[in-house]
Amino acid sequence: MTQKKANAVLSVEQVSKSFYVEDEPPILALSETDLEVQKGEFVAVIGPSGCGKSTLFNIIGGLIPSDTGQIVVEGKKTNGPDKQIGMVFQEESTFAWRTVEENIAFPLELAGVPKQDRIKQAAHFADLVGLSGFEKRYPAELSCGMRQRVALARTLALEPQILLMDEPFAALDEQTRMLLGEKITEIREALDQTVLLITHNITEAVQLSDRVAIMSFRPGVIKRILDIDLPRPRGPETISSDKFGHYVGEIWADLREEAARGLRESERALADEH
Amino acid sequence: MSIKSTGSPGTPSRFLKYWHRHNSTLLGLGIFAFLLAIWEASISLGWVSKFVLTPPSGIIQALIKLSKNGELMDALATTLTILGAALGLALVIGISIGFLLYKNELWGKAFEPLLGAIFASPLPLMFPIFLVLFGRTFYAIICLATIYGSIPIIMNTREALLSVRRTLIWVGRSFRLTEVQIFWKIIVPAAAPLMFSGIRMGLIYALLGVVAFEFLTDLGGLGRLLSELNYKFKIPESFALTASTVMLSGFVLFLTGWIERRISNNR
Amino acid sequence: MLTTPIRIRAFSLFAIWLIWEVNAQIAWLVPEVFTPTSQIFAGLAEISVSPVFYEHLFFTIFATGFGFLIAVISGTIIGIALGAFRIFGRAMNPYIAAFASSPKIIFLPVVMSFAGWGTETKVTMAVIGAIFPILLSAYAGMLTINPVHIRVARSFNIKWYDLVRKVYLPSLRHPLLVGFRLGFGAALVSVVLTEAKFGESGLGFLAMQYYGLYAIGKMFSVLVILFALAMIANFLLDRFATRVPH
Repeated sequence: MTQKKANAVLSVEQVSKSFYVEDEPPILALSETDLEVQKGEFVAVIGPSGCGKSTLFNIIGGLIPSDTGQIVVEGKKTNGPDKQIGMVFQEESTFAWRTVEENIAFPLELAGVPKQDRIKQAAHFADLVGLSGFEKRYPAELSCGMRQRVALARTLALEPQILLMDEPFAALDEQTRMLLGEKITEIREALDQTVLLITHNITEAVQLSDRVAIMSFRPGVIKRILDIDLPRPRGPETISSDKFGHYVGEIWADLREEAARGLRESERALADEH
Repeated sequence: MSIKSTGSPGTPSRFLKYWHRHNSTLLGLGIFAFLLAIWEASISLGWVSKFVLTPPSGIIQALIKLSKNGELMDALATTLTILGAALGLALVIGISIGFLLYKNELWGKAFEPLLGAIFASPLPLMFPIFLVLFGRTFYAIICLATIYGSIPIIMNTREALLSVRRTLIWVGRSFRLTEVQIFWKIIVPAAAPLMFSGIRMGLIYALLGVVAFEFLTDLGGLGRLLSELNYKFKIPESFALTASTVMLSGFVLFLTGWIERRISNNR
Repeated sequence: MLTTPIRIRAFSLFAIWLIWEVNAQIAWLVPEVFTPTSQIFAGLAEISVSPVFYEHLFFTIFATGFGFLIAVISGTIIGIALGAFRIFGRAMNPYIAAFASSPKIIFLPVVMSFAGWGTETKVTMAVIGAIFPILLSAYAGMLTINPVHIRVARSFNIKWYDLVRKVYLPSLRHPLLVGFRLGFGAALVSVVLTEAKFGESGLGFLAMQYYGLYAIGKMFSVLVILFALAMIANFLLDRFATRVPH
């Protein structure tokens, strides 16, 4: 892992993070985690709930500092949110007071892009995520999946090299999620982006990624990295193939133990409360 | 069994459609009109003396009389001027203190219950203090109404700013906005509806304070006029003035409610 | 030092008292209003031994309490009814809101025109003050009841009075308590302001009398007693609510 490949666009190096709660031993969320993402690659980080996936997401995005280690983007150590990284959050993050168009144009507006260009750009990205015709609507008038696409388009508007996503489809139903996954793959190819996706959904990870990094439950470390050698585009035939199922099974075998441990600990914590 | 359709069940009549859209409003108007009719009838049928209870027709006549001789408009203008001054002050005081209590979490937590206690206390009973402080002047009214109106503004401003979801702020950070940009571009618009509902409450309480103070001290606009008419035993006119004050409250409520919906209708 | 909310609260109250006291001692800013706290206490001691004060206190408490009781019963019934028959609730809501947000004291001339100058007027004013917060709280509470609970109850062929007793009232405990508290405060304000305006008895009348005599220390004492009254009522309602079984 220490051997750095020349074209790694994003690397997570020896990152640790603990959380302190009063009167309790500190929780080690991440322990000396390493991860490298190559240019143009789609990597999924998968793990049971509570394994520190979101912590890793926040640290890579520069929203919270790590205790040790560093994040390197294109050979440069980052300090806070990096220009090359665009983030898509798990929770609803559209601005309710702005129309779809104004939401997408938000980062452009702050970058000082003139209004005419902003509108043109916003229309382009709205089209890219399949929302043309909805530019003048407000988020409240849209479905969850559409709002998540607005957030995606808003992040894409600055054309970041690296797209960092934290369970962006968690709140969606299975079918919408599959369709949005296909959309993401298309967009990535169109924009030639590198994607790091945090997820707990095994099918989603296999459907979308070139590599899947499996995280362990507390302390979170990358336990194993699995190459997904499936042809693209990955339509229904691929998903129903034996190979796909084999990958899903393999990841679940690794994850099962961690998930069970996570469940046991959270149930014990509940029992302790009473 | 044969199915025979009379009319077309798919397309209800225009009347029915209208009724379904506005049924509660129409019902409300109907009940209101019915109550007014009973009121009117009870006097014209002689159940109640018209010297005790003025019928709606009498109130309307008195209202016309009061507006014709200009008394009502003068009083309304005075009350609204005082109210405007109090609201302006309450906005400045309320929003700035609310902001400070949002910025300083500890002091915010410390003062929140104190403000709640003051708000729940019978604050209008303090009116003699303001009389002693400012004498029988408009300043006394403005001061009481300002204090009364600023408390909900303080509390809601703090609450609104605190209630902005962390994710929205993180979106701003991820776009590398400065803290000032995050405040103005994200926190303020996100908090606007809840902040406005505090302002709305502040306005309603300030109006309450102004009219009550005017009535108690025979000073200023609507409240003073009501008290004056009452002293002169002009019963229909007092009824008319009470009715117009209620209408004024209703109008303020309706108008601010409309603005509130406009601010938050996209949410 | 100022590291917890409680300490900050204690410090602030102490600071306000200190400023008040220092100002009073050096007689700087409007000394006739900001009298030394010792004087307020002296005033309290003086009026607390005068039988006349207790007469006034009784009048105020009686009118407030009686009016409040009427408002509790009628406000709760009306609020539940408006919530149970939604269409009436929605129909009447704007009218009730307009009345609820207007200053209740302006109804005094209307009330006086048929209730006269006596206790009836005060009681009526207390009812007018207290009924709106109570019925609005009950109505708002009714709207938050889980409709599934009502459907479950209905599926057991429950009688309407059992529906009220077993479903509505238990879920309305909290909103009703809030309404009662606000209502009591409003009733007290209504009664005292009525007394201040036209009364010949009661604490509002007493406060205005001291104001007229420019006995500001004593006027403050009366106000302090009124605030204490509101707080005690608040406390009692709270205790009562935690005692009442489900």
